[in-house]
Amino acid sequence: MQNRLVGWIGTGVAGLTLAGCVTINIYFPAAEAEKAADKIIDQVWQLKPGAKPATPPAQTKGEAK
Amino acid sequence: MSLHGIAARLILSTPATLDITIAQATLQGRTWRKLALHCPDARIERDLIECRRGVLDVGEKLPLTFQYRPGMHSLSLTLFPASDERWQAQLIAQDGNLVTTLEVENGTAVRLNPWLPEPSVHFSQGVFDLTAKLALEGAARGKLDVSLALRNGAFSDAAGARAGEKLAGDISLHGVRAGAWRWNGAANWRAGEVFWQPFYFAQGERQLSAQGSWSDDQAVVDQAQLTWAGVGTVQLNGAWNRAAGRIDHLLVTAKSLALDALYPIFLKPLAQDGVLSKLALSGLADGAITLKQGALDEASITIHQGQLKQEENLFSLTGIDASLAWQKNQSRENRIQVASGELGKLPLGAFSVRALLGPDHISLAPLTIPILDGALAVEGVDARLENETWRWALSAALQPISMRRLSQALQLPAMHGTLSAVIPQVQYAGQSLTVNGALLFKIFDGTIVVKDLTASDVLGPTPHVYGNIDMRNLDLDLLTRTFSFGVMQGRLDVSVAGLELFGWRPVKFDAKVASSPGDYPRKISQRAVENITSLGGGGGAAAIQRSFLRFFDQFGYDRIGLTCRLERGVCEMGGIEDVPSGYLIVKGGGIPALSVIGYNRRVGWDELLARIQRATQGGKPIVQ
Amino acid sequence: MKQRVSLFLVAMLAFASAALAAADLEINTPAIAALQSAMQTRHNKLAAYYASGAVGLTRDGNVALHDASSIPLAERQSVNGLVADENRDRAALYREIARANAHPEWAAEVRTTFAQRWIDKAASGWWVQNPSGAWVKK
Repeated sequence: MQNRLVGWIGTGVAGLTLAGCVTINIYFPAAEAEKAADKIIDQVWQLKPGAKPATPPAQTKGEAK
Repeated sequence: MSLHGIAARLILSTPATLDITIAQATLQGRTWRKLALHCPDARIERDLIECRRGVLDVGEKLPLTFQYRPGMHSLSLTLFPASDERWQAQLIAQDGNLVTTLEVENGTAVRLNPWLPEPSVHFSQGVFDLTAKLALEGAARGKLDVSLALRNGAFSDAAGARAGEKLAGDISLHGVRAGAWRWNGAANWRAGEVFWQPFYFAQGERQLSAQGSWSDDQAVVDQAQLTWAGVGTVQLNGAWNRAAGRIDHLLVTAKSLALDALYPIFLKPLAQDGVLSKLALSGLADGAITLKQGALDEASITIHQGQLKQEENLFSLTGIDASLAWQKNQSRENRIQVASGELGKLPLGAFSVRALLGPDHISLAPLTIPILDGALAVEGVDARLENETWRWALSAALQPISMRRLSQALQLPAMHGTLSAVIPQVQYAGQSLTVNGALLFKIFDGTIVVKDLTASDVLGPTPHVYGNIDMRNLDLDLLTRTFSFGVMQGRLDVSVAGLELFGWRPVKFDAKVASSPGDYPRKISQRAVENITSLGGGGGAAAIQRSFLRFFDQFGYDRIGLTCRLERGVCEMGGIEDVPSGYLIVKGGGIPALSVIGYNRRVGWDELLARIQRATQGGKPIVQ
Repeated sequence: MKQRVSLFLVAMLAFASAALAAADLEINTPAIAALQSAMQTRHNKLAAYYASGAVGLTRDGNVALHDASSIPLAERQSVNGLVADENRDRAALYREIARANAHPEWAAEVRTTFAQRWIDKAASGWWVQNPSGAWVKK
C-alpha cells in the first residue's frame, strides 16, 4: 500500500514534469494563429469578417452556429 | 451452418398445424434470431410432409411452401417474398447421388447484401434471375450450371465513394467434375456505370470469358479474355493457390490497347495531384505483366506512335516509340524514341533515351535533345530509391543556341549572341531540387553564374526557388539595344543575392548593379538617362538635364550603380553612394558629364516593374 | 508542492502569452496569397457540395467525401478531384504560414488551429467531424 502510494506520487510528479515540457507549446501563438486563420477563412469562404451573415452571395455562406 | 434452440410443435388435426421455432441460426457468418416457421395447413403422411400455405418469419414474413418426401429423399422449398418474386430450391439425394437446384425469379438484389464479397457496399436496387443446378455422382463426378442475370442494379457504400447505378449484366458458369472440376464461364457487363474511388467506368460494354480448373488446393485459369469497349482486349491466365490465399502465377497480355481511352480511365485517376494528372496520352500499346508468388515479377509495355501532351501546354512529345520493361531483382533496358516535342514555346528535335531500369535504380545513357539550333546534352542521369523516395541526379550542358532564334521563339525582344550553359549536378528528391556547383550562362558577351540554386515543392502548389546570381561584364550596348531602353555603352556587373522566387516571380532579393571594373568606353544617351531617372522614382535629377544638357545626345559617365533590396513587395533603393537626401545612380565623367541622383528610396516592386516595362517599350518615360 | 508547481506553470504561461501577444502572424506572402486565391476560386464549386452534404470538413483541417449519393456518378470523380486539390492546397497553406513565420515546425499546430476554425465558421447544414471523428450536421 505504501509502495503503491509512492508510485502514485511518482507518476504525478512525472506527469507534472511532462506538463512542464509541454509548455514549449505555448510558444506557438495560438491566439494570433486563430486570428490569422479567421482572416484567411473569411476570404476563402467570402464571409464578412465579424459580421453575422447578411444574405450571403451564395446559398451556403454564413457564420451560423 | 449451425442451429440452436430448435422447438417444433405439431397439432394433428385436419388440416394439421406445424410450428417450428429456431432460437438462433448461423449460416456463413450471418446470424438470425427467433426464426419461426408456421404451417397452418400442413399435411403429414407416411411418405410426405407438406406445407402448402406456410409463413417463414425471419424478421419479415415470407410466404412459403415445402414438400418433403422421406422415401425419395427429396425436399422442395419455395419462398414467395413478393408477388412476382419466387425462390425455389430442390434437393434430391438418391444412391449416393445428389441433385440440388436453386431458381430465383425476380429476386431482389437487396437480399444479397449479407453475402456480398465487399462488405462495405450494399445493393439498394436491382432485380436478378438465377438458375443453379449442382449434380453430384458419388464423390468424384459432378456437374454444375449457374446463370445469373441482373437488371437495374444499384449499389453504394455509405459515403458514395463506391457506387454503381442502372447496372445490367449476366454471368454464366459451367463445370464438370471428373476427378477435379473443369469450368468455363462468361460475364457480360451490358449497361450501367460505376464509380469506384478513384475510378469511374461509364456506360459501355465489357465482356469476360474464361475457362479453367478447380481443385482443393488450386484454382486455375487456363485462359481468360477481357474485352473493354473502346480500350481493347486483355488475355490472362494464372493460378490461385487456395491454401496460401495468393496468386501462384499470373500472366496478363494485351495487344494494341488504345492509350487515349486507357489513360484517363485507369492511370490518370491514380495521379490525382502532380504532373501526371494533367497529361493526355494517345497511341497504341502492347503490354505484358507477370505475377509470381503473389508479387509483380515482370512488366513490359511497347508504345507505338504515342503522343503525350501536358494540358497546360507546358510540354508535349509526339511520335513516341517506346519499349519499356521492368523485372524484379533485375535490370532491364528501356528505349524511348521521340520524333519531336515542345517545351513551352520551344520546339524540341528528335531524340532517343536509353535507360537501364532496375528494382531500385534507373540510369540513363547520355542523351542529346535538340533545341532550336542548339541542344541540351544530358549526362549521368541516375535515380535511386532510398527510403521510398526516388533521388534523381543528373548533369547537363546547353550547347550554344542562337539568342536571335531563342528570343524569337519565346516572343522576347530580339537578342544577339548565343546562349550556352553548364549545369554541373542537379539533384531531385521529394519535390526538392538542388543544383550543386554553379549554372553558367554566356549571354550579352558576359557571363551569368547561378549558384546555390535550390527549389522546393517543384511540382506542387507552392513552388519556391532560391539562389544567388552573379552577372559579369554584360555588354550594355547589346543589353540596352535589345530592350530598347535608350542606348548605353559600357560594361555591367549585376549581383542578385538571396533571391527567392515564388511561382517564378521574385519575392525577395538583394540586388546590386554596378559598372564593371576595367577600361572601356562609357557613354549614356539622353533617353537612357531619363529612363534611369524614372526607375529611381523620378525626382530632381531630371530638372538638371533639361536646363542645358538637353542639347547633348550622349554623355560620358564614370560609374553607374543601383541597388534594390526587395522585401514584402517593396524595393529599398540605393546607388553608388549616398548624397545629401538621395543616392548617386550615375556618376558623371568626361565632357559633357552628367550625374543622376535618386531621391525615392522606397518603390513598390510592381510599380518598379511597370516603370521598367514602360521604359523598355520605348515610349516616353514618366518623370514626376 | 503540487500547487506550487502549478502556480509556476501558470506564471510561465502568462509570461509567454504576454510576450507574444503583440505581433500578428505573418500571412501576407505571395505563396499564401496564391493559395488563398486558388482556394477561394475552388470554393465556388465546393460550396454546393458542402451544402448538400456530399463533402464535409474533417477534424484534421481537411475536407473529405461525406455522402456523395446525391451526386451523379459521373460527377463524383471531379468532386474527388476537388477534394484532393483542396487538401493539397490546405496542407501547403498550413506549411507556408508556419514557414512565413520562420517556424516550419508549427505546421501541425497551424493545421489544428485551422481545423477548429473551419468547423466553427461552417454554415449550418454543413457536415463536420466532431473530435472523435464522427460526422455531425451543423
